[in-house]
Amino acid sequence: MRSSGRAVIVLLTLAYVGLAGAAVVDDRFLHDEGLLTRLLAALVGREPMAALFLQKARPPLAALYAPVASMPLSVFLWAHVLVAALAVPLTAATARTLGHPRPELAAAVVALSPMFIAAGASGLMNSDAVVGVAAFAWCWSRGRLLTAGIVMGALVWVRAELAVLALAYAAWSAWDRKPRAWIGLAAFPVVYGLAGALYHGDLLWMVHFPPALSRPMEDNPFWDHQTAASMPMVVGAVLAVTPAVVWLGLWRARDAHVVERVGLAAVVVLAVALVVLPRWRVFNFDTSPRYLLPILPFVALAVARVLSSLGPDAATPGGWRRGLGLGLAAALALVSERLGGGPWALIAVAVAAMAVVLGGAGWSTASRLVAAGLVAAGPLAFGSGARLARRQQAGVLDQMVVRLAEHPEWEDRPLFTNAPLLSAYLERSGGLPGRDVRYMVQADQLYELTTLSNPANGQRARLLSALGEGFHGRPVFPDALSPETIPPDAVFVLTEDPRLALVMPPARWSSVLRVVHRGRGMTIAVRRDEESAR
Amino acid sequence: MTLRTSARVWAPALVLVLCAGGLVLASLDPVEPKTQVEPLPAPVLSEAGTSLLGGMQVGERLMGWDVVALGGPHEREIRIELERDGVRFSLMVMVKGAVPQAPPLETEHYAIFYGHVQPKDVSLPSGTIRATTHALARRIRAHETDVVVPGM
Repeated sequence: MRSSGRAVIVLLTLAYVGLAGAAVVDDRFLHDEGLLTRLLAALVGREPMAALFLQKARPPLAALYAPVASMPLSVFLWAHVLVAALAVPLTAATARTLGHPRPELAAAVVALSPMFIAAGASGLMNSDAVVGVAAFAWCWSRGRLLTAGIVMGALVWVRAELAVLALAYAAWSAWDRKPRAWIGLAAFPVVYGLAGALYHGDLLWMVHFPPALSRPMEDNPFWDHQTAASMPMVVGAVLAVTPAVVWLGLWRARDAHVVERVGLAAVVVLAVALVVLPRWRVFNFDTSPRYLLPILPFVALAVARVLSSLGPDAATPGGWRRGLGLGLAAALALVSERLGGGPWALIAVAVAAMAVVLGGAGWSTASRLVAAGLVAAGPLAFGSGARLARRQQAGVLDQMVVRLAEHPEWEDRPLFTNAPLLSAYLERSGGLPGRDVRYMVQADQLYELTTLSNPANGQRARLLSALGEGFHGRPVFPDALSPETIPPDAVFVLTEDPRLALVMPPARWSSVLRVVHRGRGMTIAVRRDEESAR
Repeated sequence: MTLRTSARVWAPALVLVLCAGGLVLASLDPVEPKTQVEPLPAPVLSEAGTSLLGGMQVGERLMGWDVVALGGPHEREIRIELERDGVRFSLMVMVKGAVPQAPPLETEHYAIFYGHVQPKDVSLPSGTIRATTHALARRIRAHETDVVVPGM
C-alpha cells in the first residue's frame, strides 16, 4: 500500500476517535444499552463465574471490558471508543488483502458511519459487533479460516443476530470443503458449553438457560407500544449506517472476492430479517436501528468496490447498470420522502448520482471529491436515523434535571426513578452529582434475568446479589418496592413507561404520591405523608 | 465519447434529474416529517369533552389566564393550554386512577394535573395552580355526572 494510503487510514482512525470521543464528553449518545454493556462487564468482576456462564451477559464482551467496568463511566466509554476504532484499520487491511485499489475508501465508510460513531460513544455492543465482524472478515480474507471461525463462533455470544453470518460462513466452508472453518466455528461454543456444563452441572444448560428470551414476557405492555418499522424509519436507519449505501445498487459480484460476495449476501439477509422479525416479536428484537450496524464492514467493502470503478473504461459497470442501481435507490428515497421521511435520502442519492456522472465522464478527481463529500457528511446529516442521540431516546432527562435543580432541599433525599440514565446523567453533564439515585428495576428486566439464570446452583442468587451493588444507581427490585418500604422523604422521578404500572400499580400508589411537576413524558412526585414524617 | 461510454454519464444523470424533481416536489408539496416524538394531543376538543368542561372555548379566560388550546381526549387525557405574559402551562384532566401519581386536585370522577410549563426555566406565579385547577374543577363538577367522555 502507498504510504499516503496508510496515512489516510491513520487519519481516519483518529477522526473516528475524535468524533466519538467528543460525543463521550458531552453525553450526546448516553444510552441505557451502553450502560448495560458496562454493567454486564462489572458483573464479571463482582461474580465472575455466575456472570461468565450467564449467556445473556455476552460473555466474550463482558470479559473484555471487565477490567474497566468498575472504573468511572468515562473510562469505560473511552475504552469502548478505542476498541471500536480498531474496525477502521481492520476493514482497510481486509480491503487491501482482497485487492482493493484504494483500501482507504472502505476505511472511510466505516470511520465516518454516523451510527458507528454514536454506538461507539454510547458503549453499545452493536459497535463491538462491527469490530468483531471486521476482524472476522480480515482473518477470512487472509485465509486464516480457523481463526475466522473462532472469532465468528464467539461473536454469536456477543450479538445473537450474527448467527446469520456464522451460518453463511458455515455454508460457504461446507460448499468449499474447508473443515478448518467448521472447527473454528465450533471452538467457542464447545469449550464454553463444556465449561458451563461443569458450572451448571447440566450438559444442556445452554438450552435450559438460553442467551435471550425466545418470546417476550407475557402481558408486557412494552410490546403494545412497538410498531412495525415504517419505510422512512428503515431508509433513515440504513442511511445512518452509512449514506454511501446508496451506491450499493452498482455493486457487481464479478468484481468482488468470494469473501465479499458471501459476506454481503449474509448481511443483506441479516438486514431484511431485522426489519421483518419485530413484526412477530421473535427473539425480542424491536425496531431499534442499531441492530443493523454489524452490516457495516461488508457494506463498506462493497461500496469501496463500486467507488473504485466509476470511471468510463469498459471494465466498469455500464450505463444501464449505473442508471438502474441508482434509480432503485432514488425510487426508495422518493417514496420515503412522500411518506414523511424527509429529503435527506433524495439528497444522498442525488449526490451519489453526481459522483457517478462525473466518474462516467472521466473526471475522476471531481467524482472522488463528491463521493468523499457524501461519506464525510454522514455524521453531520444522517445521524438522526440511528435514533441513538440522548435527546431522541431520553429527551425527558433535561426536563428532569431542570426540575430537580429547582429543589435544592431535595439534595440529600433519595430519588426513586425508572429512568435508567438518570443516575449517570446527573453525575456527568446533568450537573447534579452525588445524588442518591435508586433505580426501580422493571418487571420485565427481573423476569429476563431470572428466566435466563440457574436457580439450582446459586447463579441466580449470586447475580441478584451482585446487581445489588449497582444497577443504574442503587437498584430497588419490584418485590421491595411498596409504599410501606419506601422512605418517607423519597422523591419519585418517573418517565412515562407503559411498564411502570407493573411495579407501581395505580391502585396501590395513587393515594401515596403527590405530583410536584408534571411534564411531557415525565412526572416528579413526592410522598403525600412526607411532611408528617419529618 | 461513444454512445456506450456516454451512457455511463446520461443514465446516472437521469437519476440526478429524478432526484432534483423529487426535491422540487418536496419543497412545493411538503410532507410533515414523521418523528419518534409522540404526537401532541389532538388540537380539537371532542364534543363530549367540551361539555365536560362546561362549554369551554379557546379564547376564554380562566382565572386571568387565556385558554389558548384545547385538545383531547388523547391517550385518555384532555388538555387545556393556558397562557399569560409569555408563560404557558397545561392543565390535564384524566379519569381518576389512570396513572399511579396522585393529582393536585380531584373531582368525583376526574383527576386534574398540571405541567408542561414553558419556558422550562420559569416558575408559575404563586397561587396560579391552586386558582386554575379549582376553577376547572368547579366546571367539571357541574357536568361530570351528566357527561360521559368517550376515550377517557
